[in-house]
Amino acid sequence: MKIIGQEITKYYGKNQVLYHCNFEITSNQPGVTGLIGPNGAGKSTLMRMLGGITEPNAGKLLIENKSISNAYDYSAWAQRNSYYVPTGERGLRNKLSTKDNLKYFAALRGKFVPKCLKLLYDTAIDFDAEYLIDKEFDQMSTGQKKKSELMVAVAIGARLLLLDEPSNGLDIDSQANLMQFIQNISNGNNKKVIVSSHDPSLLANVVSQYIFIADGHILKTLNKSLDELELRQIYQHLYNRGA
Amino acid sequence: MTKLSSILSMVKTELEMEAKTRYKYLASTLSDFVIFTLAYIAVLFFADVTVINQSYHTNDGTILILIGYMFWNVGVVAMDISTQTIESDSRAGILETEIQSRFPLWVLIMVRSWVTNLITFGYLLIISLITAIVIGQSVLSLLNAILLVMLLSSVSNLGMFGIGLIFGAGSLIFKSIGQWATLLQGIILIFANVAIPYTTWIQAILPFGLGIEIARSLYLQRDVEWITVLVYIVINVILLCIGLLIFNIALQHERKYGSFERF
Ligand SMILES: Nc1ncnc2c1ncn2[C@@H]1O[C@H](COP(=O)(O)OP(=O)(O)OP(=O)(O)O)[C@@H](O)[C@H]1O
Ligand SMILES: [Mg+2]
Repeated sequence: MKIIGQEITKYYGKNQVLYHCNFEITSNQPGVTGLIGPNGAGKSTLMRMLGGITEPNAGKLLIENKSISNAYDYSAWAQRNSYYVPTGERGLRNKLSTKDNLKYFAALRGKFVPKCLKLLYDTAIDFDAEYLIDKEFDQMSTGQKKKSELMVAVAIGARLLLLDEPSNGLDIDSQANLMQFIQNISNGNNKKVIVSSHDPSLLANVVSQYIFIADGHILKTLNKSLDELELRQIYQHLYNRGA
Repeated sequence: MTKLSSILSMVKTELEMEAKTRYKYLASTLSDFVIFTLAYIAVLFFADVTVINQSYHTNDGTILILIGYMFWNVGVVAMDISTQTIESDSRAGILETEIQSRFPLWVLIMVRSWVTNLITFGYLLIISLITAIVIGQSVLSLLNAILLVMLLSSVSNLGMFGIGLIFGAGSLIFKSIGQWATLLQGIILIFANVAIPYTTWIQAILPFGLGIEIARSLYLQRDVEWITVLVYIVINVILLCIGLLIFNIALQHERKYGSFERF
């Protein structure tokens, strides 16, 4: 299964922020896709669209399924299968625990809540994060918040996880720890994860597909994993600046 | 899951989580009540009870004002919930996930408003009891008044909710709009038949205008014409529909030309 963007154009009011973007993301196999680009490139804009929250003004976003051999409308699929995690310390209800947040968002999606709760406990055990289950969201550290959000996204049964700049506000160790967590979640639970960042060192090694974006244009797509040095070189070359 | 069980599950969870959140934000709920109490005292202070007594041929003027005030108070709460939800949830970054829900956003907001409504009646019960003691009225007759308001305001709250959705639409597109709603609520409090008698049909355009008159008549054990009840319902259904229409257009517009973000 593939997510296909064709000539995607997006405006905020009269401001154009995405220009004829084309891309393909394989969505039915685990792996992390890195959306990489400097500030203001349009990463968040693209992520929100992939989350089905906003719509393109022109162009098409499709989900292509070989087994049914047709392409169908993205937004209905996204509503059932994608989960968008915004950047920073936001994304869940502040005064509720991870568990209550899951109950809330699972019920909103029409999921069977007890099943989601079981999945939450399993995920927490797998990733050594049981201490987050009953912790209130606004009493978590930035890194814990990201993990809590990821666990909710997994337990809710989302197949496509969209993480917008998840490393913002994390120190180097927490960043590495979080990326490991993301990679394990992707592999262990058969999830597609898309991570956006402006930081090549974050996205080196763990990512199996790169989408480079700048000023609303997709500059390049690479379907392989790169180490930090290779990634820095490409970044420097594409954006003509040090990273 | 079947449609019905998923609706029930959503309603139950929404109520549970809203109650939990409200409890954690107790201080801000209490400060809302302080403001409402000040408004109530101001109304009683400025209202001319003799005018009400003459107009309704009764000595229960204060209670009639209380009835008007309660309609206004629960109405304001029903009206504020849309802008509050949109402004606080987009700040918390959860509006996105709520939009991705299986249920329309306005349904979620409406269910949420029930919790607030219930809390508000708890508060109204308290200030009514205090009023009863101060003016030497029987507690039973005040409970009777509250019950009437609870039943009848379920209609006017639909209209107030509809007006709130229009502000919610403004909030989606222009981001910060809450203070205009507060201004409107203040104006309504002065010109509606809350502390003054019902004198012109213009007051009936307000969601609770006729509701207040129906409640007052029933409280005074007088007849209510069925046409009044019908017009009362129709006005509120129309206001709700206008609100829903504008809100959904704004939501669609924001999907196409906005980002739901707010900082
Ligand atoms: N709600 C909005 N209204 C108008 N313009 C916006 C809005 N949100 C973003 N923009 C503009 O759109 C462009 C792309 O923004 P976007 O948030 O997608 O970038 P980004 O790649 O996520 O950047 P960052 O790394 O800073 O998060 C920027 O020029 C930004 O100023
Ligand atoms: Mg961004």
